[in-house]
Amino acid sequence: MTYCLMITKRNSIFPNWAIITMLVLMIGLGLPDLAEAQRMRHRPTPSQRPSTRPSNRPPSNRPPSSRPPSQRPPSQRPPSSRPPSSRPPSHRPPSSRPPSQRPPPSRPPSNRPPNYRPPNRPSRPPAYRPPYRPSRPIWVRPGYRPYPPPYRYGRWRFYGYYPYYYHPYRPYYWGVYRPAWGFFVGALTATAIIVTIENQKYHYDQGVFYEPTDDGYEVVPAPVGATVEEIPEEAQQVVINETNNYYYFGGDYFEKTDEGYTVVPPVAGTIVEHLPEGGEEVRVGKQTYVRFGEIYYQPVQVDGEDMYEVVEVKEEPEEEDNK
Amino acid sequence: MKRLLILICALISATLLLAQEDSNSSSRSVDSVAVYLLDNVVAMIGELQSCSYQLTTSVDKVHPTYGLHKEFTDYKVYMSGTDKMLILEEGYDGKWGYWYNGTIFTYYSYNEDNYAIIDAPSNTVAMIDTLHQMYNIEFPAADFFYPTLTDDILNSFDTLWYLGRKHIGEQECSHILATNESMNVQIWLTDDGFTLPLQFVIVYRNQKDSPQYEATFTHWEVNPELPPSLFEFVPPPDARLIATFPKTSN
Repeated sequence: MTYCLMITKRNSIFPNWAIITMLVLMIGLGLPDLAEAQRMRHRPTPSQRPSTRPSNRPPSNRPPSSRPPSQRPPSQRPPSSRPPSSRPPSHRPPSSRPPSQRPPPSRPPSNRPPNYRPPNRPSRPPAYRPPYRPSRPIWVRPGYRPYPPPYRYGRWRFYGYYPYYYHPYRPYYWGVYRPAWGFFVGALTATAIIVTIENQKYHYDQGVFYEPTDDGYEVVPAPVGATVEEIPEEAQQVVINETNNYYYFGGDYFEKTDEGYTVVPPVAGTIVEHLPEGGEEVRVGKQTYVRFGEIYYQPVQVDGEDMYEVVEVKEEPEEEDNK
Repeated sequence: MKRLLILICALISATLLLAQEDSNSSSRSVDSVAVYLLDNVVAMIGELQSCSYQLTTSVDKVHPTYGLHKEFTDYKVYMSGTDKMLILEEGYDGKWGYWYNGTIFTYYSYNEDNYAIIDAPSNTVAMIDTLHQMYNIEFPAADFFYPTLTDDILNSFDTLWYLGRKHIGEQECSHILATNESMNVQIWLTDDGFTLPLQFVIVYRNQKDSPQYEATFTHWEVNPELPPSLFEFVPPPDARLIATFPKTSN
């Protein structure tokens, strides 16, 4: 409407019939295309439909479906190496259930909505996608007091102080922008500083360490030993070894020193309230831990609050369980 | 003189070796009736196309402070062919479900509402072996489903006895006992035409306080009609797929 008024004002030197003709031509040429687009765009033709499967996907080497055909062979068991049974085959009583006595299926009337579709039963659920694994592992320092008996899993022992208490892992987002490990950015802000540890150059900005790549920067775990002057105000103080000079921010641990804040590895037994994005829940026997690289957090409950405890994982000789 | 001394030493050594062999052979005793009954169990289970049963286990655990205590777990087991299995477990460790469809193995925690998926071998016995070895997953009473049950017992135990017909509840059964230095295993087999396991007890003689493992079978169903969809896991709407930590990982 506004467009038409502007034309009318700016082209007032043209006679009215010319303006009407131009409008008719514009509507006549434009409307079919518009109408066609609304009819067709939401449903592309099969030949034009782009494939949702990546083109570089390797051909599947999965064997065909294991579901047996409806005409099941008499026995699918492989040839047995057992000695032949001494039981005479005729002793086995025939089935006492005549087919005709089978009652017809008495399915109750469905109260499902008309458009209800039963859930798909995929032959394979979606594959698990592992999260970012840092190339440089961070090890957990042992706790400062004797551990209670560990959780045993094969030759692995998980040492912590609190009993296991499951609660789902939900990443926490600190007040400031804190991207997950492995996140890629093309450029950094002007406030980023350079920190060099063991001849490796990092960039640090607001509690986050970045490692330069060919075409940008990748968020990485804080390199142990790096010292920075400031950490974000959102960093939380954690108690380790009954001292109060340790801080936790976004999955990284800092120790306050005279020079500033030095990155330190976590200590087993440390309790934190939140975990950042980028962890993965991993089942260890019948317990579920949250793993960040080599750091394992055990879900626990402290004073009625859901927390996470850093646990120390040790490898010890496997013992035979009485089961 | 020196030759005589060597000869005497050789004679003494030979005598000792012979005596040791005699004592070994006398401590080994195998009852043919027990072997026959075990072979019958293997044959019966080997002929099954499908089966289901319930199992209740009690395990003695040693707590560092309290000492021995028992943990009970109930299982419902469904098996079909050589490559399908479903186990529903409820006990001290919570409620769990294990689905195996011949290709993948899924275990789901009802309490935590999360599940893990593992690529599995293509038959049930190999799957049980692999998953126990790699992920410490327990399949209680799985020994009875191995075609080599009798040979395994004969190879692992020094004595195998048939102790006669007994009653457990109203069920008539045969009682078998196998022993070695570290274990005492008693097995009760049904004696009603179907030779199937009814109960077994393991006493760990070499451990402090001799802890026991006991399992009781009930509700045996032979060749029930089990739909293939029973062995396919369908994740509940909010269930989370999580990773697994192999026991053998580095």
